[in-house]
Amino acid sequence: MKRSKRFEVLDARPVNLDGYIGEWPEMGFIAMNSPYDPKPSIKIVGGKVTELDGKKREDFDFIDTFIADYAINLQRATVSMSIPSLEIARKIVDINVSRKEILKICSGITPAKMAEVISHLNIVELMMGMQKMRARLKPSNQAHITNLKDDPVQLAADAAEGALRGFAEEETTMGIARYAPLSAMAILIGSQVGRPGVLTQCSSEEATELDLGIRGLTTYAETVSVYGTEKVFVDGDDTPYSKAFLNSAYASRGLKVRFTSGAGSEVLMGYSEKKSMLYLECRCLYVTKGAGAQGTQNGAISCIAVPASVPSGIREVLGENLVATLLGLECASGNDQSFSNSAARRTARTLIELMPGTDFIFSGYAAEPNYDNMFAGSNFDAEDFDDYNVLQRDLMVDGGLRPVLEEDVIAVRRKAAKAIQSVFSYLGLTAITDEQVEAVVYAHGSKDTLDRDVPADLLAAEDVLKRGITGIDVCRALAETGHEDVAERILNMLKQRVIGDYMQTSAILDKDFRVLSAINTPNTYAGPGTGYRLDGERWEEIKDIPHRIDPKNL
Amino acid sequence: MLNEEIMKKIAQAIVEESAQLDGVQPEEMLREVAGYLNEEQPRPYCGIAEVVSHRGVKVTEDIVRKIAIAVIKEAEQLEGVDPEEMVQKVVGALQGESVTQIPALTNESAIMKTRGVTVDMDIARRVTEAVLKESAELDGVVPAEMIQKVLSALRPMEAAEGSTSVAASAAVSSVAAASVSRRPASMVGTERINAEKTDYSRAPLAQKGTDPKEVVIGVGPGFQKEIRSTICGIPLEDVIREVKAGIEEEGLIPRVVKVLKTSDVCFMGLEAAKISGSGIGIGLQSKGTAVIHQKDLYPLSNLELFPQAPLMNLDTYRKIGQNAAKYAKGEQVTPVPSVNDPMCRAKYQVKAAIMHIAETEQVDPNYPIIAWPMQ
Repeated sequence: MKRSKRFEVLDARPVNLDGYIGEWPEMGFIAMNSPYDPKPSIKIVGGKVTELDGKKREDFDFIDTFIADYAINLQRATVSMSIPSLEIARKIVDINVSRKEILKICSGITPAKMAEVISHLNIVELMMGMQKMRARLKPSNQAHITNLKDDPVQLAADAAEGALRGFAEEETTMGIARYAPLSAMAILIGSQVGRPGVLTQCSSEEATELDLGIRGLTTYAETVSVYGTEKVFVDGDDTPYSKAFLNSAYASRGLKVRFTSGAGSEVLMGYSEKKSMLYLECRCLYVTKGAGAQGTQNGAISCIAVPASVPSGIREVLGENLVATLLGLECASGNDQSFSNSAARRTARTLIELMPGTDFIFSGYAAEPNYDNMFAGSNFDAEDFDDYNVLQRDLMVDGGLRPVLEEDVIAVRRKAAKAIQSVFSYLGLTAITDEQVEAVVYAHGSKDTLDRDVPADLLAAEDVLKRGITGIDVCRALAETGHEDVAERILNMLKQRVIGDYMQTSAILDKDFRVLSAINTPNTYAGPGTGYRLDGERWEEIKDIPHRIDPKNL
Repeated sequence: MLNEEIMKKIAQAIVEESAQLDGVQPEEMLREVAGYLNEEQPRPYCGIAEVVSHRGVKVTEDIVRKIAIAVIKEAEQLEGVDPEEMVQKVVGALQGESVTQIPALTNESAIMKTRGVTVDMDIARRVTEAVLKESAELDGVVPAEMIQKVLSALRPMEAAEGSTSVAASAAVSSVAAASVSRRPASMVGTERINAEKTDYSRAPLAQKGTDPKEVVIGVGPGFQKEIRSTICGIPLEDVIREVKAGIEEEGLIPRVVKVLKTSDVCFMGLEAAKISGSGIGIGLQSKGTAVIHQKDLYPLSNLELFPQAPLMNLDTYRKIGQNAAKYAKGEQVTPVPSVNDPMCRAKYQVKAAIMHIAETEQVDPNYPIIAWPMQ
């Protein structure tokens, strides 16, 4: 066939580099409404669920049992289940029905019913629902702080810059898992240099992550993954019960925790049981709620290219975010993984959470260039900072970030790099040279920094664990080396664990370590003129982008 | 002559080389080449076209000359190859003109003698490599385009020898099949990828080793059976050969087993480590994802993890073997440096899902871990 030049141009567009696949329910490639999804039902006998979504108790797998026993408000169930799904869907977008009332209704419906409710909502209605149902009054944002070299100095500097730019939480992970103790320490120090009160976590193997949390080297945990089918759980050597124990382990030490789940994981693991991605994610979120977690990181997360490959997949992603809020959970709404080569597509995918606002628009905005993002790339990265700031300004929405000045960024990067240099030296860990500090201060990414001595770093990381180094040791090291202000901030973060208020739903800390959560600052949206409105100081900050025409200099 | 084996080798060389070139996607490159080999019109695959439009390619005389010299250098070392003819073909392809019209080349070509040309596998590969190497260093040249031109130049030679079939290798054709010229048929109602599950009931179970010099490689349930090459088209026998060679290079002994109880790479690695005499194991999924594991670590922990299969090449697999052996010897090991392509997911995740489903279909807890290959 002789080729059309138009088609040659179209074929070459970035959007056609993305992977797409037709609906294939048998393999789980279906966003919503799989023909194999169960019909909603519940039967309660003597205070015990005997049937859930068409399945008898004797046929339950452990997810069904867990949900039936812990995740549904049985006092509400009969009434809630008798309300038609379409009516619940309408209530969700009705400004005259309060968030509280919706939460009450949804506490008594089953996962299949929840999926049915969501399937009645189009994309705009899902956004309207999110605007009302988000738990915390004010939206916020979370950063990924990582680099290809696992360089702790760069981690500290990027964490400081990220905090200055407005991120309320920062998460790291490693190329080489054994770096974890150093990485956790680096972003703990860096974040507090950039802005006091930023929460940090280190995504690693569960036992290590818990250990780091108990030591006070992290201030929250997020990588507690749950799945929608039993086989995927089993493949990971886990059950809903073991996840609930893990959640309690964190809670017992005063650490904030959220679970992780999202569309596509069961497909990717080969065990979708022919169910739709939305239905399986509903099961995950019910497990999350049943385990007593305050919140979730969902919205497909690392499997985002799977829902994105099927029709209505991105709509499903916002749908599952909304399910989290309908269950009263904090929602860190994804956007944390690259999924498309098309700038149009990736922006559209983020707008659906940015415009209504979620507890955390991103559960990981790459605050480094994407080549350094060790979560294998985020949907937005450091090179999009100004785009994002302009989007906030164009649409007058609060996406959690703010424009910053170059000199301020350089200053906090230097301060963070020097702080970690002192801490490493005081604790007798690997040396950090002045040259490394200088390179990192002005670096965009790890291509601009000096190499670390990896085997020496790994020995130091092991040493941190062996010697039982904790957050207090980091405080002491900072205080003894002339960084008293940073030491005090880290001490304040450790105090939060004793106070415990930041374990409430959707909690973040402001710069004075005051908790903002769904308890003391709940979402009050009830139509125009209510809820969170962007104005005052915060709006001035967003308006104030540096790249503006100066009429005096024309 | 260009038979299936040659195609495979060319594909492999291209994948390996292009993986190291900035801005070049091995898969696109393969598709491009495959389009040619299948005697179809080459399609402007996105990755290449994008690079082209960004860089604004213009094939200048100087570029042609440099490439021609590279081709000559390679061709001279090959028996039965006429460098002049090769150059002519290459240049002709590049310019769409006759070589005699390029004065800069006359000197080079004048020194060539006429010999009978047969393009065998080795030649094709070496030329491809040479072209890639040279063109990568030249500003404004797209290696993929070069390869395409060279291959189209080589093809008529092969045709002249009277060969009728240009059968593409499994790697090439599978990539080509993924191209976008027609709408794929609906899969609705299909319950498996491979209708039949392979029966391993007669396979001997793998035993626990006692030799402290042993490193066990645990491959996935679909390895070399349902799946024959990695997600980026590297044949699995080459992958396993490199991993083994890496282990042997360090003076240790590799043993390959097939893990059937799980398709999760970390658990596969751990299972391998548990029966390994040294306590060190390598998990190797059929799509190419790998892990180095140690018997007493948590399952989802690891010594080294290589999560992005599309970024793997044979060199990395060899290094995995070497490092695993070094851990087994108790040496201080520098981990293989991390690589990262933030756009991997967009392109490969769906393919990864399909491959993993095909692998998982073969999971069989009744025969948890068997010797591989089966005797």
